[in-house]
Amino acid sequence: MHGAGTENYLNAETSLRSWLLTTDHKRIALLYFASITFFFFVGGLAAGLIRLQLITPYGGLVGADTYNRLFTMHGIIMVWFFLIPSIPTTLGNFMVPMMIGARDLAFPRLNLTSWYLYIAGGLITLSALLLGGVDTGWTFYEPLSTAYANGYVVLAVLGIFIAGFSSVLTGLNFIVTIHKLRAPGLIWYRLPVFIWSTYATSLILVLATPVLAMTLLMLAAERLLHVGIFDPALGGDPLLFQHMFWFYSHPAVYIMILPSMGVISEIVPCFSRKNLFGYKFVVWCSIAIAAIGFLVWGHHMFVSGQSLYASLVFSFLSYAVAVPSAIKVFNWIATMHKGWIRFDAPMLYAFGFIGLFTVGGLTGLFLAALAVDVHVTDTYFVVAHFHYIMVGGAVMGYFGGLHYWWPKITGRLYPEYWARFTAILTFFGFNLTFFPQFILGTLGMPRRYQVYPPEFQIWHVLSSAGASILAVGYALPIFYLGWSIVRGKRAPADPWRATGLEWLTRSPPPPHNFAAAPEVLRGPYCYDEEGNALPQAAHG
Amino acid sequence: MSAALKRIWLCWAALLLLLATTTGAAFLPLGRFNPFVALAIAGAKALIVLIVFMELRRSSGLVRAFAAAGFFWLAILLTLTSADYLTRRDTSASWQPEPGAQPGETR
Amino acid sequence: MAEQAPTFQYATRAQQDDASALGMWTFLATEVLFFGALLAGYSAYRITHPAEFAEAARHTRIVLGAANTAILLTSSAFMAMAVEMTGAGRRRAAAFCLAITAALGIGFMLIKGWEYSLEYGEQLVPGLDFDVDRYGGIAELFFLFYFFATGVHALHLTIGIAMVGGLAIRSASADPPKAISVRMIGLYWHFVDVVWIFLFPLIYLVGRNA
Repeated sequence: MHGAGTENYLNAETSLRSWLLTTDHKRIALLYFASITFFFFVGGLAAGLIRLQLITPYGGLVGADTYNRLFTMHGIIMVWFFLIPSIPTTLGNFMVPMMIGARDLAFPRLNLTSWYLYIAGGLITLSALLLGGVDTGWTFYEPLSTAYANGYVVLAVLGIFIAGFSSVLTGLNFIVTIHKLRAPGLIWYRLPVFIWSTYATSLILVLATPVLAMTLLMLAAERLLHVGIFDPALGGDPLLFQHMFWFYSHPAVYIMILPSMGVISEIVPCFSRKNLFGYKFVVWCSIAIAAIGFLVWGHHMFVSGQSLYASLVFSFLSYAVAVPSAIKVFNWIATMHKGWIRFDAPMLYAFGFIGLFTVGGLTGLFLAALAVDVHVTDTYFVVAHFHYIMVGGAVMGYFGGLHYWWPKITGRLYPEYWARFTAILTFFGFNLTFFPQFILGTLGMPRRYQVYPPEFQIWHVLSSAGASILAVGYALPIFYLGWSIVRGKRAPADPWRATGLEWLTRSPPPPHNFAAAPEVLRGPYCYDEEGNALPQAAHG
Repeated sequence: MSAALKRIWLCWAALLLLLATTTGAAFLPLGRFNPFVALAIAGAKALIVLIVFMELRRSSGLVRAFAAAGFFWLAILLTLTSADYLTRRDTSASWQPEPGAQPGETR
Repeated sequence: MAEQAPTFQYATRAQQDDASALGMWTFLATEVLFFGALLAGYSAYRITHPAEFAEAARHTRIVLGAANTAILLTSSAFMAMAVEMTGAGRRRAAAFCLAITAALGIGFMLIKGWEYSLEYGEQLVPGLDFDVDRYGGIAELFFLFYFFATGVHALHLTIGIAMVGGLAIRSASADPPKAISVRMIGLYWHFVDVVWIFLFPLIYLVGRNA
């Protein structure tokens, strides 16, 4: 039984050992938070160098080979060591047990193991990059990666392989937790959408990642043993690698976006003081995105030599997968309609997400059309498309969630005006960086090129200027969030007057979250006519 | 308890019988159906192991759904990948040699 | 037998055991996709080069393959017995069945090792000294899949043997394992058997009707 004192999960034990050997999901979330922030800045550094190089048509900052290694490093780090773990391992690890009224995840020691696997994989990949890196692109296409690449392919791939186990175990943990550890009264249709999104994400983590693991193993075998699994000289097919790679990597992009969508579904009702519109549609759309997302991978291979008939099927299914995402966007907007909108920083990030994700999603439809894709594939159009979703969408959602739950996690309030300024600055910086890239793509600028014809320069200069603003937008939170930890006002249990179970606990929460399991009485987003919150349960 | 043991050894006998059948059937001239017969028998063996030895017959619907999920998703991978390999057509240009042509041959 | 209390986040032991079962089945689903990815590659080449695949597969030793299949199926029967014995509290019988299970697993590995050595003698090992001129490029691909699939399977089997062996020793000791542990490791063992059930026809039974 926890007394009325100020013991919380942060100050209960303070030794290094108690952090490195913790099984508390909240501490593990913070361990991950530190790690992914580090990797975010490593990947961001690579991006900065890329944008610097592209200011002038004939480069001059780095040579061609180094440029290849830079965009490869950017892709590998950002995809596997930042985006895929980001929300699930930080906000997910912290909030999933709290939002379902549990005291921890189903398998706490497995959770810690996941973090160590992530760190091991990250260190191995980092060493590959520090030794000189890889020049294949994050997609490791054959035969470049097996026969011709002159970098540390096997080492990089080994790091990703190990980090993959971390992903799988995290997903497994969430799935079992959500099935088995819900508080009394918490039926599935009373779960917050963030939980449904985490569940959908975990399905993908568990079912797609093993295929990547085997694919990377085969890649390493081909490179090490000089045997030609994908080698046409032996009768092999380079496209087989692409099939196996993209069977994982397309669902992987849904791993990156679904948790962010879940965060938006938490923020919008709270800052509109209204129930989420179409709750059942939103939750089933999360599942639909995860399921249909497994059926569309061939749209990355429209010009690779895939059969035309397979391409037709993949194109059709790629249109289908956009529908549940669109339904969610409409539901968020309908939630805001006639609500009492508050423009706090989390809501500003949510607005940014909705606008930028919509642009990214619509441009995805352009790419799903075979006739259009033939022209814009492997150009900056694709680069802009996926950055709108992954940065404009996923990263904005991550920052929104970080600000929303910051008082709960740290027990401190961040400085609101700095946060709002940063959100707006980031929005402008992002658009200036990436919108010109749509134009570049349609004009014909290929991706992964370090030099270009002079007539494209104006667009590259705009993009690089935007990148410098974006960099400021990402650096600012380090300062004001860091400041808030030591000097911020102490946060109450429920600073946003939200409804979820996580807000019933103190800020920061005690080590085991709840003294007794809360009895859940209603759904997750109940607000009355005046916008007052009706919490999901009485105090636990 | 002996009912449980009987069940185990009955299944063991069935599994060995299926093993003998599939091995023998491999030598029969069934043309295109050989692989289907072999995989069908393998599927039967797997179901016996899953349902009896792995206790799916006494498990909740949720556990059975989890057990089926992996195989279902594998089916997605195999089906859509095969969709490519089964439907490839020769799309060479008129000036390219036919596949399998000797050097110097043209269409 | 006194029931152990659940850990702090669970309300009852039954809830915790249910969670363990779900966790193990989730893990097995990931394994289906791990091995399945290899099958996807295999089927791509079998679809596009059926004749050469069949020709290559005829170099495998069907007698050793069938014997190994029989060994694994029998080991699964003993594993299932061990679970029954543990549930009934018959620790010595359980330890015996677990020991037989592990021993049969070791028998499988010995036969496999011998088979590998024979294949090495015939220059059928890609990456080492595969005789491409004699067997052809597609045959090298077939044997690549063969060694990959059976190698990864053997790795999983080795882990299984270690776990089952450990259970056998503990069952005979004063600190026997929990029934749930035996059941969960049993699930893993049976799964390794299921993988082999599918590998057997794909490797050994191709092209035998020529």
